[in-house]
Amino acid sequence: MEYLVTFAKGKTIRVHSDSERLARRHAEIIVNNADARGRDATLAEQAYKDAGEVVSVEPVS
Amino acid sequence: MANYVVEMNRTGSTSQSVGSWVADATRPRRLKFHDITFGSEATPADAAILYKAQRCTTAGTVTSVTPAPADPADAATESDAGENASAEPTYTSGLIMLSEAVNQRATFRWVATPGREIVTPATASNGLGFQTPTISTGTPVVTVRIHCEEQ
Repeated sequence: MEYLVTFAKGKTIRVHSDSERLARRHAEIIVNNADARGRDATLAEQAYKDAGEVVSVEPVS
Repeated sequence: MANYVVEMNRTGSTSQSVGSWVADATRPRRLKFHDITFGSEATPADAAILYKAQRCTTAGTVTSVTPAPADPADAATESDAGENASAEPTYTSGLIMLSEAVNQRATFRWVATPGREIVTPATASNGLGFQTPTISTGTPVVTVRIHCEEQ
């Protein structure tokens, strides 16, 4: 199942996961890594720097 | 029978996969992997990294990456790819398709002999997962680039 996770500042990320809970957790990890690793984060993670809290997780397929 | 390309990357982890590429859950098709490159774009350093490609039966929890058609005239893929796993794909024990030990400074490319591609079944969520189960030191960012034909 694919989920669209939306953050407080409007950024979104698409996540493949078996559950909504894991999708939300995955999104939180991405943001945490981006904030913690700074320039050492992967480019994909850097795109989510300061994205804020997860506000919604919606299935898209 | 279109060809697609995906790039996956993540901060190297010995316990969490770089990513996976699997058949769609509702519209599964066979995937024929024919060109795979492993490498690291981190600041050059000496670390031994073992890259593996192994058959899997679930995608795990991954950030979605859309496979790009190699020919823009082709339709969007039905398959599902993702990077930066936070929950692992379900790997099939023993079915390791590639296992290559490479220095962090090096890049490894595998190209299938024509007709000898790595084929995964048209079964929901079956495909390949890509891992770095051994990194001798550090957590370098690693990248896997994959070319695949969907049938």
